[in-house]
Formats: sequence, C-alpha cells, structure tokens
Amino acid sequence: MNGGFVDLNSETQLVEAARNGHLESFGALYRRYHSQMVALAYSMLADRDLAEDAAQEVFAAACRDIESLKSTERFAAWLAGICRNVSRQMLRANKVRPAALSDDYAAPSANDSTDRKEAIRRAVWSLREAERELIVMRYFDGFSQSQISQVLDLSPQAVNGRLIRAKRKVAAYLKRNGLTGDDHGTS
Amino acid sequence: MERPENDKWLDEALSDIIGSEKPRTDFEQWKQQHPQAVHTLTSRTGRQASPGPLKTRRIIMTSTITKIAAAAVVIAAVALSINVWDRTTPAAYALEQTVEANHTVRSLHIRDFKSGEDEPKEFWLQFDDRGQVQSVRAYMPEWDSPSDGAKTIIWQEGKAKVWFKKKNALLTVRDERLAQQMLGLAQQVDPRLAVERLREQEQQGKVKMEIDEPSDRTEPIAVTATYGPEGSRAGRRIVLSVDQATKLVTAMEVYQLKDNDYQQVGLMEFHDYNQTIDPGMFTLDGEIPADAMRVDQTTQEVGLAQGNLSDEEVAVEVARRFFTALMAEDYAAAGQFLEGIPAEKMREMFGPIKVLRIISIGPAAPHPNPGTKGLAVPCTVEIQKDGQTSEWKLDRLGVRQVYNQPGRWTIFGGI
Repeated sequence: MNGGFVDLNSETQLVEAARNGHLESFGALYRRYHSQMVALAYSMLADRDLAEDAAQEVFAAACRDIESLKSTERFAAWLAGICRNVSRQMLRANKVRPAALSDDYAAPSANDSTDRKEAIRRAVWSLREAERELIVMRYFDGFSQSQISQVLDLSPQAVNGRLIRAKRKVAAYLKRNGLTGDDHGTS
Repeated sequence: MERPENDKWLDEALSDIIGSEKPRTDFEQWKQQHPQAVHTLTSRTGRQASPGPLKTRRIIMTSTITKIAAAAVVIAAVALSINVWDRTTPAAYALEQTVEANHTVRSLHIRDFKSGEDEPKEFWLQFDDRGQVQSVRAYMPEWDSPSDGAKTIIWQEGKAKVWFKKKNALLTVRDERLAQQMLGLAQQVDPRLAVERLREQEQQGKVKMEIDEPSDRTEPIAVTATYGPEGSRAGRRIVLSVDQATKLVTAMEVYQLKDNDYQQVGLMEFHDYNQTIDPGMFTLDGEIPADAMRVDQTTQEVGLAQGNLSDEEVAVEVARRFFTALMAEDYAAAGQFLEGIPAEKMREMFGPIKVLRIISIGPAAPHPNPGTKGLAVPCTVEIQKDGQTSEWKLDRLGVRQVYNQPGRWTIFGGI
C-alpha cells in the first residue's frame, strides 16, 4: 500500500482501503464520483432533487456492499450499476415519470423559446437509456469523455462515437419538429 | 482527421437545457445522514492492515522555463456560482427567467456568511420593473477560491466581468447562471413567495414549518423550516427572520444537525430592500489598473472546436496548434489557444522564448486534478532562449472545455 499511505490518485488503492473499512478513502471516492452519480440519476429521473437523493442512497448502498465488488478497477462502473438500480426503484416507488415524457406534452412551435427548450428536452429524454446517459453526463456538468468512460464502462473512443450518434439523433428529432441551428440564433 | 461538424448550436442548446448547478458534494453531511452505512464500513477496519493517512501525490514540474512562464499566465477557472441556501426551489421560481419574474424585490444587498470565515460574500442586485435581473455586483473573498484570490464580478446583459485582483487580470465571459441564481434568490427572499414555497414543501412532507410571531412588534417574525430525516437535506433547518413592519425577510440562517444539536453553518443578511443602488457599483471603471491583462471571451471564440474529435484528440490538437503558432511567432493565434490572451501579452510572455520544433506531444490523459475536468497533455519542444538551445518539457499541459463556449477547448492554468 505505497509504504502505508493511500495515494489519492490511485483509485484501486482507495477502493481497496475502503473495502478494509477506511472511511477517509471512501470519502475520497465519494468526492470523486458524487457529481457523476447525480448526473447519471438525473438522466433517468429527470428531476434534480430526486437525482440528488438517489446519489446519496447510491453511496449508502456502496458503503454496505463494497465487499461484493469483485474488481477494484471497475469501481465507477459498479457504482453506476447501483445508481441505475436505485433510480429505477425510485421511479417505481414514486411512480415518477420524467417530466419531459409527460403525456400532455404539446408539439413545439419553432418560434417560441420555451417550446424550443421543451422540444430539446423531449428529444433528449426520447433517446434510449444508454444514449441519454451519455448526453446528460456530457452536458450536465461537462464531464470529460474519459470520466464518462469510467462510469459507463466504455472506452473513450466508444464514448466519443456514441455521443456523436446520440447528438445526431437529437438534431434529427429537432429537425423533424422544425427546429434547427438557425432557430437557435447561431449557426 | 475528420472535419469538425458545425454543431455549435446543438452543444449550446444541450448545455442550456441539461447544464446544471454543480451538485454540492459534502461527505461530512453524508456521513451524518448515513450513520448505519458508515458503521457497516468502518466495522471492517482491522480485518486487514489499516492504511496510513491520505497523501496527495505532489505534481512536480521541473522545467525552469515552466516556472518563469507559470508566473505570467494567470487565467483560472471562473467560479461564478454561489451557495444558494435551498436547492429544492422549483424550476418555476429559480431556474427560469419567466416573463413576469413574480417577486417584489427591485434592489437588494446580500451578505452571505460562511461558518468559520469572517469575510462574507456580498451581492448587490438590481432588478428592472418586471423583476428581471438587470445588474449584479458580487464580491467573492479569497477563501472561496484561494488559487484565484478575491474576485469582484459585475454582471449585466448576459456578460460577467470578473476582476482577479491578485492576478491583475480582467476576464469577460458570457454567463446566464449568475443572473438565474440571483433571480432565484430574490424569489426566495420575497416573503410571500418564501412562505408559499415552504408551505408547498410542507404539504409534500419535506419540511415541518413553525412560525413564531412575537407580540413585540419590533422583534422579527421567525419562520423555521426543519427538513425531515429523508432526502438530501436531512438534518437541515432554515430560519427566516421577517420584519413585522415591512414584512420583508431580513436574514436567513442555515443550521445543520450534528451531534443532536443544530449548528449554524451559514447566514445571509438582506439589506437595503428597494433602495436605489449607486450605478457606480455596477462598473469596474476606476478599479482596474491600466496594466491589467484583459481577456474578453464574449467577442471572440476561444480555443479549438472539438467537432468529431475525441477529448483526447482535441486536447493534443490544441497543444499542437499552440506550439505551432508560437513557432511561427503568431502570438494572436497562440493566445486563442490560451484562454484568448491578447497577442501583445502573449508576445510579452513568450517573446523571449523561440520555439524551434515540436519533439513530442501527447498522448492526453485525465488531468491529475479531476476537479478541473481537463486533460493533461505531455509536451516536449525544442526552444532557444538567450542564444542557448534546450528542451522544454511540460509534464502536464492542461487542456479543457472553454467556460460557456461548449464544444471548444483551450489550454488552462500555467504553462
């Protein structure tokens, strides 16, 4: 263990130490991944408050179950799995349906700023879950492709490629609804 | 290398819709709210050899030239966010600048104290007749960001001018979040809306509300909202002081339950409701020395558009173009890849160093400080200085997305 020290830059050391009950190491992992768990939960719940609550529960579950983690190198992906489960449980328990998918959603009119925002939101939450996770994590707080790749257990190249495809789908959806870059005021 | 697609509008739209105030990451609070989980974890201590204290790996940059230039390049991350006391504010209140802003505040001075710090953050807010944010002056003490030093921010018409006094640099950026936060704050301070919102939360079972109205009319009404044991705000208590004569909120205290006791963690004072603020408060004229470095990111696109490049590829490309521009002594172009630093400042900083050739660049890797959300690109270039040729080795040149210019990447921090 690096001469008795835990190296904050070494995730595997932090995870190993946390598995052995070292709370400070778990705290370092919490600080490293808390924002990303909020973003991931938000991609499923479409509600910021619920997403924060979910992230809190994710780390509680991680604390309890960290011994079940088989590969210390995959801590972020393991955490993401817990996050998806917690978020699904919250969706079921609260009968929450992401606001962007509500049935009373009205078709957008291209000239209205609020409708345009709704259309973009709708486009994002219409994506498949895996694509939505990518888009939300990328734009929620500007996580790098490398950070996203750890959480979603993909290579950075795969993140890049899938992100491009997901953005194309969003753009296509908006185009079908009469919204393009020209409406946005930039080109 | 694929040609970058022109999807700037989509990046901006997605940032606008999905971009959010950074979650507050507070492990201490989490520990208090999850004692059972903490106990489960810590009960494993001793099964194996316990590790020693945490140690952060020191980043060593050995180049003497690095040290010379690091003192000159000063642009840092712009952290405009403030700690608004309550994140549960519905979007209709805080996050949308609706046509009718729905509050009665037209001007306000806020002093935001943090437990353990003497100097408060301060905000002077001016709203227009419809309640929309018109002007903001903010003062952020050094404790808020020791690396930046104290900052003064003037916000008007979607632009924030940030004065880094310690670094003698003025940075102008596009920013909407600060105004949105201020609007949300005004709506929280408006007594009618504040109580209405707390009632709403009470009905949802999130808080328990108590109102204490003293018979002595000179004493303020105390509105206490205590959050329940569930949720991310468990253990939080908010106390609003409402002036009985004016019915305005004059202070907001924030407490956190710790060791069975509510301990104060923050205090906001609200002064000078609807009192005219001197327009001079909303300008930095006279405060910025003539020799200060000025970078305006609202009149220029900074950095390189990512297009279809991966993060790692664009980071390497930014570094490559930066050094290529220095080789050509094109300081205007080089400055574009360094947060938009003006050509004359770039010439002053890098003129004495002639870059002869690029020896190696990349590959990019996650930046050792994850908080920067950047990448580190190792670079080695051959330079000439004072007639002597040598290698300039940068272990970690930082590259990340430009603040509020989604899809564009720039070098950040010291070179």
